[in-house]
Amino acid sequence: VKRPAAERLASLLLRCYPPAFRREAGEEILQFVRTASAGGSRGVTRAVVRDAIRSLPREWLAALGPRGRSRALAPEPRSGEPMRNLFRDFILAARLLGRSPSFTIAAVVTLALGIGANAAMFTLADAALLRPVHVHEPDRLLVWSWSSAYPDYQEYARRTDLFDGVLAVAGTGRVNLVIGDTAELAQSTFVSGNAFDVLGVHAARGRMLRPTDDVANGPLVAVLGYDYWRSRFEGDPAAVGRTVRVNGRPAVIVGVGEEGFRGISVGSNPSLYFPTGVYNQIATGFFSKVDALTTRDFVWLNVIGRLRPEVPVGQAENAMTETYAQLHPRGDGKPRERLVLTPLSTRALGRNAGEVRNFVVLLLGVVGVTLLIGCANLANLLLAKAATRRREIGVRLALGATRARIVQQMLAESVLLAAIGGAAALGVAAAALGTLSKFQLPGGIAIESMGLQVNGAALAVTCGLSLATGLLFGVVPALRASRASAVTSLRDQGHGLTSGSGVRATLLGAQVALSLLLLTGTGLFIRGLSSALQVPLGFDERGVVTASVNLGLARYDEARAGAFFEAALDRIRALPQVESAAWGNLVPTRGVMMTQTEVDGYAKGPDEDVTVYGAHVGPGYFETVGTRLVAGRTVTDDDRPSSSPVAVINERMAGQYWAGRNPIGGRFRMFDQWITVVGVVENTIVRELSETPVPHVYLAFDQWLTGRESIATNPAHLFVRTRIDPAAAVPLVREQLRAVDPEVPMFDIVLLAERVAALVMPQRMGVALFTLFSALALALASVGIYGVATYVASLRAREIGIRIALGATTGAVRRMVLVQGARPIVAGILAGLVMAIYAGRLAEAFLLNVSPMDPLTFVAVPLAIAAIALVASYVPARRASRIEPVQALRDE
Amino acid sequence: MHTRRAASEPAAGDFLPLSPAIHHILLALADEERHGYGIMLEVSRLTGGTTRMGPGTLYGTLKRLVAAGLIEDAEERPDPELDDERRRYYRITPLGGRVLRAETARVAVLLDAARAKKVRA
Repeated sequence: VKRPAAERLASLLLRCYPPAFRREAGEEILQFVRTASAGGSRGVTRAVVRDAIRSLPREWLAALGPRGRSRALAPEPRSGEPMRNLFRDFILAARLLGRSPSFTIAAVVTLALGIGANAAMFTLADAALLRPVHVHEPDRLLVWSWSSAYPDYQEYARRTDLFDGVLAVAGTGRVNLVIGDTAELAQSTFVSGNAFDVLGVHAARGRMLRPTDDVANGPLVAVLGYDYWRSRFEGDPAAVGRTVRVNGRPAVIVGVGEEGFRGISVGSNPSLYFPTGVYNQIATGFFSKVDALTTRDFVWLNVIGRLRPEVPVGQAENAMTETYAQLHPRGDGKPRERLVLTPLSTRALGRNAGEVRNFVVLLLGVVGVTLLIGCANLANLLLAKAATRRREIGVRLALGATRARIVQQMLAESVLLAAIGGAAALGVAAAALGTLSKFQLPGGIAIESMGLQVNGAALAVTCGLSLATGLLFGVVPALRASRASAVTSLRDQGHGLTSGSGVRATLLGAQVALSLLLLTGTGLFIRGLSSALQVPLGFDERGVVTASVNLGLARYDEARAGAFFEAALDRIRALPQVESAAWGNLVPTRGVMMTQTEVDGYAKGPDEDVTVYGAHVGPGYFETVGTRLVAGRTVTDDDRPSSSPVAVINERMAGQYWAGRNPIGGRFRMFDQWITVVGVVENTIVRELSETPVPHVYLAFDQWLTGRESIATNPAHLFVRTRIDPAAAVPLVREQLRAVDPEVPMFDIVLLAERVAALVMPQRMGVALFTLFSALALALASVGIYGVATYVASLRAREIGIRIALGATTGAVRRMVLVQGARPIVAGILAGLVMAIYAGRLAEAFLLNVSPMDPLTFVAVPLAIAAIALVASYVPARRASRIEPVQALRDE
Repeated sequence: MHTRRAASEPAAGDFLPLSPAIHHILLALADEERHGYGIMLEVSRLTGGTTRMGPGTLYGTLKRLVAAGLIEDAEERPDPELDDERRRYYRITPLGGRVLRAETARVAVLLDAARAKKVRA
């Protein structure tokens, strides 16, 4: 039989009442409602809800508060009084907090650090993991697992039966942007005309790009990124309609992107968006010669489709794989690699999405655990306070205060504490975000580019958590303590308090466990960092400055470029502070181009592609960056454009393709030429520390400054090894390059050491944060251990006095107190170890050659915690052993 | 050792003034035993329909009145007028009666004073 709505509602609401009330009155209440709604539920439901709102707090107060019949029947306070009381309560609370400044400071600092750090980390997590891209319905946006040529993209975009829209977007690159008469380099990208429609991104000013903008060699128009518009144009609406020069060509700004939209990959945030159709007008160097819109060989676009809701992902993957196979038939008839469509929110984090995720979760964990420790500590402080306040509450009850008034007053204290802590936390959160902005996420995502702002929701939630802690551990114990009756709470102070010591021991155990968790993290990250610092890089970054130029952006031709490279090198080498210098077009740690090749005398397998990393380096490059020559010679001044092309290869390449042969004098084919190997150098890190060495060829820079494969107008990097502090050499290098040609855009004049430092960024960040927070946790935990040991010893003062009077030795008493206090600590250490074993897996990616169950860490950390606990509880134990029996007995 | 205070019946005046809810319930039970729903109906009738007590408020107050000794449980029995379900009936105790009379006297004094000054409802 279906019960009427009102009765079902009532039985639901009944669950909210204290259990005792439910037992005693539950059946009758249901009966009541059933009878009342016999004539229909109308009106009854509303009455039931209103009744519950009115009677719920009353019944809970009655259940938790002290009992006494006269108060139970006291009339409700008149309206108007509560507000006046509330105001008085806050004044009183402020006064009370001011009277115990050490408690107040400890509580506020704990709360501020815990809440602030959590709000900051949650803001980061929200930006990186929950909402990495600011677009409409990101779940339905799927990214092609391979890059595409423009004509291929057009074929994909035809499939409106599968997708609501398909867009293309190029990777970001720098352009030489001249606004008025100032030139600067700006990050820009190319997008298909429908891109913003498909993404669901609107214009903050003007308009976004349209399909009609995206025509081959159409008018040069651009949309500004919101952040760039704010910073470079100071949010001037007149920016729309202005004409700027992009790589020497006039372009009209037609609009500004939506606030919060920072491109489709985290950390990129382009300043300018151009339609793909104008690519050839803007591209420079080699790329200006490519017909980007018609050739199927120039693969430069990421394709993203908005999947129709009714289409399964697998179906779209099959169809697109099929389309690609038709466009690129392959003779052998073997199945091609199948297309995979990945949600944009995942791809937005780049190649290292998994690492970023783990790292952010780890950081969240660290601050979350710190907040828990802080709350445990606060709870302990409040419990101690509640015990001492029992007497005060007794007095007030005896003088006729109602329990509601007392609860209200204690509530005011908790709220005030949480409010002060929350306000201070705002400052902590802002400072923490400022510090975070200096770091990078794994994969080189600069946190600064994410435009983080303190997340209000995170702040509110953490504030609420601390408020709840305050209520749970401040108000409830105080009420319980006062429950028996006003008289007993005035009478004695010893008994009844011991019940709280169980809670305190549990809290202490939890604190120890969490501290151990953090300290283990610290240990692991320190070991990971030292292991990362020992990975051989294959170069010596100390004392090296790198400066990057792009002659193509200044519309140089090959002849002028060659002259520039030579003149610049002559000037730099002439400086007395410079030991050596060389040009190259790779940046160690930034990755290099990959090329297919053919090795003379190497029989490759049936399906094998010989793919190697390649770069061009000038004479003196290896000496300058400190890469060791293993055999043969390096590139020299004798390797001219007129002489036959030569190359240096790395040990891995030699080992893989010249196994058992002498690579010196060997040949490989690249760019339609046979190139002779003249030397072998050690392996170097190409992109990240954890990589296994990859085959690498180094072509002679000067031999590729002309011709079809010319690199003259591509980005190039000058490497300078200095005799002085490299940081001091940075302005010298800048000055000399400007002296050659002030119009050449120069960027990234940085120390090679900084690039290396970026490689170990996650480890360094981990060490810094874990050290900070575990130190905090340890400090809190040792205060807690000391406090609980002192408290327990004071409760047992009388018993200890009797024991001493009966002849117990000092040593025996100390042992007894120590053993008693050790239980929660040992339990905490064991629990912490279990948690650490699980949490260690999250850190695995950042530990390189260190096991997440590193024995050294897992032995040293528990020992350290045990030692600290021993010291913290020894002082109270010694004090207890010196109790004067007579004194202890007389106190009672 | 401390001496326990002898348990003695509280004076009726200790409970005054009564809250409206308590006053209504005691009045409703003044003439006969009623169950919870019956009390609600009677209170509603006594106050001319202006006061309708919800079940949570009603049973919370009843519990406290029982604890204070102003009313007590009568035996459970079915209400012939409503249905055949067994219901718990409440009745007023002698102490409850004294409290109700004391409150009535208190209100009567006020009512007389108001009438003397020609204050009209």
